[in-house]
Amino acid sequence: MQKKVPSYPFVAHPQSRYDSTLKGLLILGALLILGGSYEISEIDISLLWSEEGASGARDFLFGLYPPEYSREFLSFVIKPTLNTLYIAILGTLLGVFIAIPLSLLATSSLMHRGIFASDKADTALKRLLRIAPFILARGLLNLFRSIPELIWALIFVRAVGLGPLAGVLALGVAYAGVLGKLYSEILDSVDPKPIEALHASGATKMKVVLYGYVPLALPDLTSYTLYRWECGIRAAVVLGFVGAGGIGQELELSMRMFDYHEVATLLIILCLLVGMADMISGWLRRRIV
Amino acid sequence: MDIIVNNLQKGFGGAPVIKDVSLTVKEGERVAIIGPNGSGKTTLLRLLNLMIFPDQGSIELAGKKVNGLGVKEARTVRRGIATIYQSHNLIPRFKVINNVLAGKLGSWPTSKALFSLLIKPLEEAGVREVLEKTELEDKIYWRTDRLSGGQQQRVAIARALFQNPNLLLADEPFASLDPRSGEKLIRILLGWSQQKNKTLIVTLHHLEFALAHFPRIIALKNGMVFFDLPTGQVTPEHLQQLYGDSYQGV
Amino acid sequence: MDIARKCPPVLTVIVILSLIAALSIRGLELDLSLLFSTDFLKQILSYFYDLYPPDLSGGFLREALVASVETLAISIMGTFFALIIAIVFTPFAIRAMSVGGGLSGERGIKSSLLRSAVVFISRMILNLLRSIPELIWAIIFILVVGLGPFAGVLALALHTGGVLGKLYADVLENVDPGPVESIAATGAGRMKIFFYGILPQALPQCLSYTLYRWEMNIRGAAILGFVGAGGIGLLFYKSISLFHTDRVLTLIIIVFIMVNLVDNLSLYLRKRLL
Ligand SMILES: Nc1ncnc2c1ncn2[C@@H]1O[C@H](COP(=O)(O)OP(=O)(O)OP(=O)(O)O)[C@@H](O)[C@H]1O
Ligand SMILES: [Mg+2]
Repeated sequence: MQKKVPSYPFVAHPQSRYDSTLKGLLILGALLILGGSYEISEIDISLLWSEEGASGARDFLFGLYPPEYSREFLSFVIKPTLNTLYIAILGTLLGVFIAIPLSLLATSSLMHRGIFASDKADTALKRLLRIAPFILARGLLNLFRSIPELIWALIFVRAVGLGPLAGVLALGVAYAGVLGKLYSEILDSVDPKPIEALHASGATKMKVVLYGYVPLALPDLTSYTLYRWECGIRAAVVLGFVGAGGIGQELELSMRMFDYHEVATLLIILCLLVGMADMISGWLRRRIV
Repeated sequence: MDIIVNNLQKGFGGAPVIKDVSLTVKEGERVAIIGPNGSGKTTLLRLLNLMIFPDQGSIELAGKKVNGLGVKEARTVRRGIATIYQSHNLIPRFKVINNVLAGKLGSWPTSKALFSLLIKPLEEAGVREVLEKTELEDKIYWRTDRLSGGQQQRVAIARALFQNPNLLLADEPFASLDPRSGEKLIRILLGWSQQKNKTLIVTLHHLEFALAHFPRIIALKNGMVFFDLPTGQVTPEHLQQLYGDSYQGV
Repeated sequence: MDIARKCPPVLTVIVILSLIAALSIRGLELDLSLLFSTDFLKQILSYFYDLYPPDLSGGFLREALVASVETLAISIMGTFFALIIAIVFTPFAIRAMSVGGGLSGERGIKSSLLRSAVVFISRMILNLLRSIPELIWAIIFILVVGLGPFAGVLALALHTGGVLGKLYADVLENVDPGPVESIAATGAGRMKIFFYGILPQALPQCLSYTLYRWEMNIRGAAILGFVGAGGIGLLFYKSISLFHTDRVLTLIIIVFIMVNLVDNLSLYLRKRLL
């Protein structure tokens, strides 16, 4: 039974007209962008099951089997595999080293906001001096992060020559950017209450960082670092493609020689390596949190 | 809807949480369930709305045995049962209207449910009607998480009424309501049950409410029925024994 | 104090890390003395110094801009297809929703075994997609669809599809069960429970992850050109190989601007979502 339904002209839905217009515009914009991107990136799904495409895929897939498992090849790839692992480890460590000081400088609650900010009205110059390192650190981190590691690698290959060193440096610089930004975000979101308690007890800034920020943020910091190391293994493989050594270089060679059996073995090794890193870092992270 | 429960037992891996509960509730009855924390009230309600199934014993709803039902049949039975959960369990991001409309999901076809969610909420008039009862009609297009805790509880009550069930189960529906709203809403639920001759089962910690408004009180303790009496026969001694020595009286 | 207890034995960790680092350095046969020689520093600095000034000639700028638009397009389409791949796989990778899962209400050993198998296989496929870097996928797809941006799109789509599939599955598996139960209690079926109970809780997080992956894919798309899969990478490769250092700086600036634009746009969108 339908009763009389009162109408509410004034409180109905105040923002809904505006909302729906905006939504419509957003959807239209998104569709336009998608359509444009579709055109520009020359997508042609039919290629995937065209005669050529299918035969290319078939050649590759069937070529993979069986993976190359001769003792010769297997003992040969041990070293590149280890090298990839080493590059990932050293690159991540280097990244951490660069990231730590930069992220401290780039954390606003440590530099010019929150409890460390003084009440005193500063001169413009003093304020600038306090804020300059912050901006500089942010800019550097941003630059490091924006340029993909492979491009860093190409640059370092030119600067220091072919070999793993270029890979380590490239990974280090790129990951310094990523980790530094994450670190400063984590530090900024640390629970402020214990920090204030420490500060109120008269501890200096250094002590507040060491006894407050670091232990409070450490689980998150380590967990993200471990996660980046995991990504670092994949990245280290890719770096091999531009001559930074490791399993990526072998992969590139085998691909270029169309030796798909070797490619298969190398891909399997890659998956195992990534899976292993996944497990190790997962295990470590669970232990920390 | 008549309810007949026999020798019900239910555990979650460990010791049983409901041990040997038997009770009968007639169509149109209004029952309050009381009992200390952890006595199994919520678990009993979840057994009654078929969200969990008993380890032993049987449940009969409207003359039909409902434990051991298949998926589809259980769904059909649930359609006639509305549940107001203790922690109201609304979707925080939904507009109020969508949370209320969810009460009808059991009877709506999927296409209608999707249309209402994605394109335009349907049956607005019906929603306004129940929201008017719970005094939230002006919030119909608000995001639910912008309401206060008590207002959200009232949205959950509105959803249950909107479902238009034969059996209404309410788990602590007045916990976060101020006294005036609590009083008002309890009258709404009771009136609904009386008018339509539908069964209402409410768990309560608020003994005054239970004693003042419900003709029958069932007390649970340690997963067993401690007493099951018409309200007139419940004495302070009963309550003393139910809650232990610290109980100070109503 | 409580704070101090959370801190693992710092010294132990430092020692272990140093040992690992030393092992790695030996393994790679790196000559560290090189790092501290003045020659080395000079070499690097002079390389960066030589980059200046950037090549801002009209012809090259136009070429670079066209390439960066293509890069953007590849990243967008790659993320879009990844979304589709993830949406297709995710339902099978979640215990509650997969074949015979809890939401369907079926019980018993047979359906639970089947469900475990389906979940395991879907997760394995997602892992495989995820483990292979986009650049390697790109090389493989060039064999199938030829050189050009389409190969790049497919490469990003497969790798990112694996990543997103896993993330979505994790998010959907961890929604608050309360609202889900309250929807199920109205007698709603699987689809309705999903759209009214699970998805609305998970959607913001899923969209946020997707946007974040788009940020990563714009970087990814910038290097696909190295292997011929479209985008600005090809220009990079050419300029660096041909010692056009001034052009390298131009490209770095363009990538920097593009990446930052995307980062900020996505950050803004993500903030609005939550
Ligand atoms: N899903 C579950 N898994 C394991 N144990 C459970 C589960 N649900 C309830 N329990 C246990 O069952 C017992 C009874 O819980 P129930 O929620 O029914 O109590 P209650 O009477 O509703 O308590 P309250 O007054 O606090 O709401 C508790 O000891 C609880 O720990
Ligand atoms: Mg309870």
